Amino acid sequence: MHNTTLPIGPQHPSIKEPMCLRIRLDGNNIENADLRLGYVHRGVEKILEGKQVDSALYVAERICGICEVSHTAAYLSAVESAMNISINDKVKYLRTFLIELERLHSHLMWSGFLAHEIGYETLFMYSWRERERILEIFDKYTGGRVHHNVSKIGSNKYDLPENSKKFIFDRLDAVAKHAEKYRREFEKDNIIKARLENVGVIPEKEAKRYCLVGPIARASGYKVDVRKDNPYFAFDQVDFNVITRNEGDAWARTLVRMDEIQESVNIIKQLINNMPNEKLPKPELHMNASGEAVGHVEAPRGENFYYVKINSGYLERAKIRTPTLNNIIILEKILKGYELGDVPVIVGSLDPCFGCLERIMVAKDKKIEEHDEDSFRKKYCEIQKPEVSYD
Amino acid sequence: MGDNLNIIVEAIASLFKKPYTKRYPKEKLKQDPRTNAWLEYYSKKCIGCRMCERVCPVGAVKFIKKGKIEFDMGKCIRCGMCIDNCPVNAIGFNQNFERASKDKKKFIVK
Amino acid sequence: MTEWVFFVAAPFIALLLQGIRRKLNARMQNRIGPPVWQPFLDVIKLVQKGKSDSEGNLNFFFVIAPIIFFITTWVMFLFVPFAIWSFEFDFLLLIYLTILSGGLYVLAGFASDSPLGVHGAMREMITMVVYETSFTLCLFTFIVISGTLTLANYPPEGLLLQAPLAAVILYLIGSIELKITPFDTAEAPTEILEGFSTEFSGAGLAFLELGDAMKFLFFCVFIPFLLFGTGNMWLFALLVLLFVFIFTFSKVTTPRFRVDQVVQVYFVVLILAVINLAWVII
Repeated sequence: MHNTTLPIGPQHPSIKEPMCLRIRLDGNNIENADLRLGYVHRGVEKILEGKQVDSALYVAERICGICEVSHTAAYLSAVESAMNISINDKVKYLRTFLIELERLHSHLMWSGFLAHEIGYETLFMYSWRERERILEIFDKYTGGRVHHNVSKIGSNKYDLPENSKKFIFDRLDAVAKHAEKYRREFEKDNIIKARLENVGVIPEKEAKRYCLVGPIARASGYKVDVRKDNPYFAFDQVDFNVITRNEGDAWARTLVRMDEIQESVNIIKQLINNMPNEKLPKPELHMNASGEAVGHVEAPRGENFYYVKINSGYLERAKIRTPTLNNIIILEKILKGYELGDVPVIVGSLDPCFGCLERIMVAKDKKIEEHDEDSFRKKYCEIQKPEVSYD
Repeated sequence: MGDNLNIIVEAIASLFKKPYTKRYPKEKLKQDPRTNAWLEYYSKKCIGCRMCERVCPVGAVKFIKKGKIEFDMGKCIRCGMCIDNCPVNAIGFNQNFERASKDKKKFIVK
Repeated sequence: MTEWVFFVAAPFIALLLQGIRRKLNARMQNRIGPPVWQPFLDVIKLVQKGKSDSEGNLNFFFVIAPIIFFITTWVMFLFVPFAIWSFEFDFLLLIYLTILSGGLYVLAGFASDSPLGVHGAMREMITMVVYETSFTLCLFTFIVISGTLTLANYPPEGLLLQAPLAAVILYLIGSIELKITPFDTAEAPTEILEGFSTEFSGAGLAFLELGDAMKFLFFCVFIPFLLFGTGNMWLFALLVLLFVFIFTFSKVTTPRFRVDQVVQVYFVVLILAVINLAWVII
């Protein structure tokens, strides 16, 4: 059979966001794959430079539409440690509450998305229905379903609404009940198992070598979780397990995420039951602060890392490293040897988020060069041939 | 299909249940009081301190003179920074979100 | 007279069944779903739309394949469920027509200038080798039992009791012919963007959709015709609706197989068909 090059993307039903995966096929099997990015580059780090610290928070919040609380939290933990602001327990609890809600919504959305990839439209609809319940909680607390705008430096805009405990617990119980059902479906259904098992296998050694983070690393038996390794906000005051599996295939990644849904529900219930009765400090503008710090949080996809440098109340530099950057590098490697039908499963199981990822800009010799992905590769990523002398 | 019948049972049960989706224009959605939908500007209260212009992360605020400020809702990201930092509460949010329009002038709040 | 009315109205009934199917599908997924007449609107809108074909698609087969596909599926209703046009050996002609309608789909895929269409056609061809063979073998059992090659002489009480295994085989063949999960690998929207129909637009796409809808109606009619017969017309109509429900239900509650897994499953079906035929003959 003849060889073809098949483009997956930039627009394709099996990817949520624009990326281009050029797949060289030998019949039905993948010979090699070439990942091309840069379709949603917005230059966010450049936009952040020169912004007032309090205002820049809202720009950081809009880097991603799915893991936006994690971006806010990572930015806040970096900025607050740079300016030596200590926050009280109430604020810590509220932020942890939002982060875990976001993990719930992201994992539910993702599980439905994987079901869609393998043609299971019903599970996709059901999962997204459960996600809707989480969005209702978001809506009740923050007034926004996707962008919340409640975090402030050193404080939080709102407390939980009064008498909302029953509202939240009802929805969490419904989500936990249904998520358990769908987990069993993923675990037991023969066709799903036939599609997911032994597809896109990442051994633990490779996971460590490629510095994978988040559920993908945990599914390969590599126990890495910022919430346990370096507890931030209120994660040292709640009780939870880090879920790991050893198979390392797409199926294990699915089950790790489905188990994390249950853990997140437990964490949120603990948080609401133990919510301290302190008053929220009044938010204020930080016009004269200076400093330099890093912060990292565990986003739904893995470690989200921020570096900020603040000069008299304004951001001088912000560097963001999102979990997708760590996880996407292995994609080309693990695609090899599988067939065309496995591509959506493998790409989906890595859960890439390109809105977060794309920020390539090179500063060299005090001149700023802006690159698209091709020219960047050509200039910096190709291996230079060593000059050989024959004397 | 496998050995568990969860989805099959749920699919059959869904046939006799009300759909979860809401038909939006017929069924009005309930807006939470915390929803940030559209800005309101009370020009009589304004003292012209230019704080809103300074804290806006996206540059949606155009200061002309005291009591005359234009807010471009096409640029606005509804973060609420201008409202939180206004010393005299001359700006506020309302819950009226049905504002889609082709006319760009309708996006400017004066 | 009724026969001719059914034959002429077949495209409309097919589209109505599509609407019912979509509504059922949506309700099982706890959604509202489109109105029942939505497929009519879709087809009308597609016919009104202009063509937007690239230069690579400007070949004879690309233009002609959807039209012949539509006509072929329509012609099948001349024989089933009412024998409007009857002659000796028309059962064999029907078998050829069903295979032809699958083959035209493959032709449409290869004619389009897109690797996705070619991949869809390739997958269809790989699976066709197995499933069309078992389909033919399965139909031969009915010919052997009824002892007739003319559909007009087919026993009106049906042959379910003489060949119960054939019911299972027919259902599985129906699923793969109609591209219903778990066997819709040849279309697979998330993998190869529905393969054949990727490049089609306007009237060509409308003919493909119409042909698809009529193929769905044909199988919903043909399987009850073989198994239960057309003795009682009301019971027959009820059984047609039952098969619409069964196929929709199968689509709702299963994910999709990979192409190699589909071939594995249909090798088992082929073996079953051979056993079925052998059992009937002996």
